[in-house]
Amino acid sequence: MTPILEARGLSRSFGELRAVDRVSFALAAGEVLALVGENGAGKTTLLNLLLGFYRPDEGEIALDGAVRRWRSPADAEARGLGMVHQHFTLVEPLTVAENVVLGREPRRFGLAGPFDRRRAEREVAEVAEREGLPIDPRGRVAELSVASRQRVEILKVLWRGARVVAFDEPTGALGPAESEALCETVRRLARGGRAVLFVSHKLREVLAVASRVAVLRAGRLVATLDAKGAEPERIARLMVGDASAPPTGLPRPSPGGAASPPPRSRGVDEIVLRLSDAACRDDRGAPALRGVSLALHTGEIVGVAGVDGNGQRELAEVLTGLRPLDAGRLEVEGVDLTFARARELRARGVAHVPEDRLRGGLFGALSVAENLALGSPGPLRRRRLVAEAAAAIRAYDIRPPEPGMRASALSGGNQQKLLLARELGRRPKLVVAVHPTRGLDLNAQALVRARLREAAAGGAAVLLVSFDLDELREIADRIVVLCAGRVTGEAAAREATDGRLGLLMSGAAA
Amino acid sequence: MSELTTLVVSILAFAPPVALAALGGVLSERAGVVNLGLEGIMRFGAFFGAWAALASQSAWVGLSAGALAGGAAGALLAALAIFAEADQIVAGVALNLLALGLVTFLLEWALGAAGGITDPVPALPSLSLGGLGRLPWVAAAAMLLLPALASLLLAKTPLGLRWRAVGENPRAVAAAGVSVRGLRFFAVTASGVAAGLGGALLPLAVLGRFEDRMPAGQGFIALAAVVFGKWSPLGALGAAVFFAGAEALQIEISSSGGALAALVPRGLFLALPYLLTLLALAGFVGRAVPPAADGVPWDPEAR
Repeated sequence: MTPILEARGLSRSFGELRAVDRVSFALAAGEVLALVGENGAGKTTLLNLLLGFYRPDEGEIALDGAVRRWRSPADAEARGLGMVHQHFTLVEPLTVAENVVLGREPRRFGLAGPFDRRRAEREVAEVAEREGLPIDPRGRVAELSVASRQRVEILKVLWRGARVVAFDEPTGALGPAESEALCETVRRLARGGRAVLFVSHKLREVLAVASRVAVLRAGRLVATLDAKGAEPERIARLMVGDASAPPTGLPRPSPGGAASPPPRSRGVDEIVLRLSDAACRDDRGAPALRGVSLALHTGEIVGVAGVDGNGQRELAEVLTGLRPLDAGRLEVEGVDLTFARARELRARGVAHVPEDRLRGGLFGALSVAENLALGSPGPLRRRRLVAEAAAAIRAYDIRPPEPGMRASALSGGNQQKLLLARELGRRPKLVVAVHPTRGLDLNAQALVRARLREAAAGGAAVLLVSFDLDELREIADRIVVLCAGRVTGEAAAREATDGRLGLLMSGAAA
Repeated sequence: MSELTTLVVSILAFAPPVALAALGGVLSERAGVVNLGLEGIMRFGAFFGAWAALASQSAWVGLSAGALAGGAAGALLAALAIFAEADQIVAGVALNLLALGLVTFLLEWALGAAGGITDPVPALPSLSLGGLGRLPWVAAAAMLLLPALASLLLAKTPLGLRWRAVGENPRAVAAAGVSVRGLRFFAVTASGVAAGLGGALLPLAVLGRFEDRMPAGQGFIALAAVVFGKWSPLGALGAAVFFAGAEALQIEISSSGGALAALVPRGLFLALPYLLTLLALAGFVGRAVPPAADGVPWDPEAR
């Protein structure tokens, strides 16, 4: 089998950092090569080098055996390389077909003619049919679900004739059924003779879809394994590069802090949060919660599972006072806070770890110390801020340990630790955490989970919204499932199988 | 009946400058760049239109010069806002201030105009309507034709598709291998041409000479028309016509005297169009949703 695409000693540095360091591999038609590694291991940079978004400092790229230098992503695209980005690049008010053909629009009457909408729609429908990605080419992207939008992204690449398709963290926002469908699509692309590069954090999924797994660590390709028979534990160990440490262990136990996660236990069985028959609308005015009732006890972690857009965000906003209730009742420690706004809820001990750190949690332009002080009463004294920041930086392993550093200059994982340090440092009664580990590397994920557990062990009730069912099973006591704004079911964490949750998430079991 | 005809005629006479400037605003904002410099661009268009018409003794040369000057001013704004990545609002305001000072200076230095008013300039052809005065049909035709053409361009051509896309999500356009900056530069320059044309109509079709106070806030009225017209070329035309109608009605009422004029302060009629725009913005007269990336500078490195 001759490879379609080859990387030969590719390197790329950003300043002092060698993001990709002499990486070589070959990719053949009909093959799915997974790229795994922690945040900052160089996966995305490598993809960007291969697809012409960056230029390599050293090394070369060969396509069908001939060395190529991409002048631009369009150049790589013209040669049959396509990427399905992690963050979709779609224009919401336009239709599916318009999005797919954007930049290469078919025209009527030759080169100077008007846009041939019908031909665009026909061609998109044909590709969709052929590749098993059913979609209405005339539908507006704004009205599509996340999974359908991703289908549009894939169609964009396929319509442009890609023979090599790269996926960057494609299942980050998908539910289990949708992830499974995506994996099937990926396998189908490979069966059809395309070569696929698949970047993901989720090892289980990687092993289900890939033929080979390439492990990156600190910019280097440290191992390439056959997916068949590869053990997730071994891959995880290769990723973190420490053969002795368990892959989900804490980075370094902080001095004085709890070194090992406390056992799951429910202390005094006291209700912290009681939400009854809550109803609210989303930003567009459509019903988002349709009668949700929940009770959270002290020391308890309750997971919320569901396909994206089924009311999770609105639920978190209702609990933190950011979204008014249309109906129902919200009580924290027996006090009616139905009409309370965020300020009062915070004062009552509700902490919020929002979905989008830099939009809802931190100020990128402010320093670490200033972000930690946000919301705390009293005058800001510089010396005290810095001292408090230094303590939080130690306790949460924020790197680099610079109280004066701008929050936006931290990596995603460290921003999340910073946010957690502030929210959990207030000794909250209720913690509302939305996707707190999304996009983080394994070490940071482990730290976030451990801190949430500690908060629960310290008597807080924790509501954890996540798409990662493994995560929910790992740290939650029970899991409730939201579908179309209703709780469709609940299960103890250890009894919550993928199948059972998937059924509840689809609403079929309700 | 005759009053209605008078109203229609005065709308056709007064609306074109605002309508074309509003079209310019739409062209720019649909591509994601707020053109706050419409007022200044109209001023450049009006001045250079009048100057060229006086020098050549041809209204058509004047019109072309106005469009050209507008295009140049648009390109300057685009260069500042897109390539130098200046704040779009600040760049637009700077352009307005530049036009204010530079034109006043040129008016004295180049034309030696006494009292800030030029000699009468050659007028674009107009149609005699007997007792109703004359209708400058070129301006009226441009007002009706250009928004229709722009509408077709946006809706029916590949360029129009990219134009709309770049105002909503420039990243998608960049990912499709199209230059975001090139597209936006073109759009803002085209916006300048339209607003420059609108400005040139002030001396060449409406007042018959250039005055230092031109365009007297019409560029800002055009900005309001963009919003009131919901960022569509034909909507902006409708808004401009509506504003001109309110203006004509106010002149009619205050000049004809009568009980109403005595009762209602004139200023109230003057303020009516803008009051309606505020209401429109507040969502009472249908929802006004700007393009998603309107006013957001394109930063290819941002994530």
